Amino acid sequence: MKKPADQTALFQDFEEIIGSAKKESIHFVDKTMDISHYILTLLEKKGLKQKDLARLLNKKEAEISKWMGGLHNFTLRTISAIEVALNEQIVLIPNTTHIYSNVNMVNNKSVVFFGSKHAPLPKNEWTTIRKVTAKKDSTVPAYALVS
Amino acid sequence: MIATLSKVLQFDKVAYYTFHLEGRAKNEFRDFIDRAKISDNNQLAELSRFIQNIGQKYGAEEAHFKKEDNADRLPPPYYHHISTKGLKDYGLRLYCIRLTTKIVILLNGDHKKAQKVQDCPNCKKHFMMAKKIAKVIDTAIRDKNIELVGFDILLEDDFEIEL
Repeated sequence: MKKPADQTALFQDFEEIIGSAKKESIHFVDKTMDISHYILTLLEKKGLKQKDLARLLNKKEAEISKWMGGLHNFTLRTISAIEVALNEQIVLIPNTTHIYSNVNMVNNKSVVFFGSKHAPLPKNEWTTIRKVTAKKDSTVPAYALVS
Repeated sequence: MIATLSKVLQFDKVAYYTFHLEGRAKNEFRDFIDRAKISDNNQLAELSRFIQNIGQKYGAEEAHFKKEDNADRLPPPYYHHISTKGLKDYGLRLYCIRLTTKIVILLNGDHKKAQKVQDCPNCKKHFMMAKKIAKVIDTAIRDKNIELVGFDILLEDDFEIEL
């Protein structure tokens, strides 16, 4: 009769080991694994193998294998080459137009701002208000603020 | 030498095991962790996060492991060459055996100091041990003394892993 292997040697300090690293190191590991996993997903979606990507990029298969293994420090040039070869976006940059999703009063008119929560402009930096196309179901005009 | 198999980590998608070799104070993975903590804690932490992400998010897919003869190894966090000063460090290597997408045996390793592992004074012994263990495991699975079920490695009652 078969029995499971011993289970009494479970590590209790594993999280602590990870926690002791520089935050950017852990962030790097997560990012590079996400990127290589996404590329592998794209290849599968397109019915391609790593050797096909190697051929498209004029690289050796071993090099592609190293990239996909995880923990590879992708350069922007490499990412760009892969994006072009596969005709897919891998790295997306958030829209940086400074428009906001708050209702505010400007010159006694109410305006609705749409956009990025990630790069809010303080009011003293607003220099131009430009009317843009309102959202389809919006009842107020939408304005974009450009620094 | 008798080797005892133990589970060391359990995640949603992968269970990790290691071996405790007869006569040694620590199991193989613990020995690696304790030495790497001193020699290069940041590389160790990055490798640990890699192991955790495989365990929690991705599963033990083949792409994450580099085949080394009949064993496997995890990718080093980074390579470091300073050939002008004669220093070479090919990164922290951890040898392992990937059995299924749910079961991995973590073994031992060290900083690789030569291009070929056979020439590396640090890693050669760990690589050779990983190959030996992989061969014994392969034979045991073939002879049905070991069975892999989900996250579990099941061993026949009176079966001992002998190296």
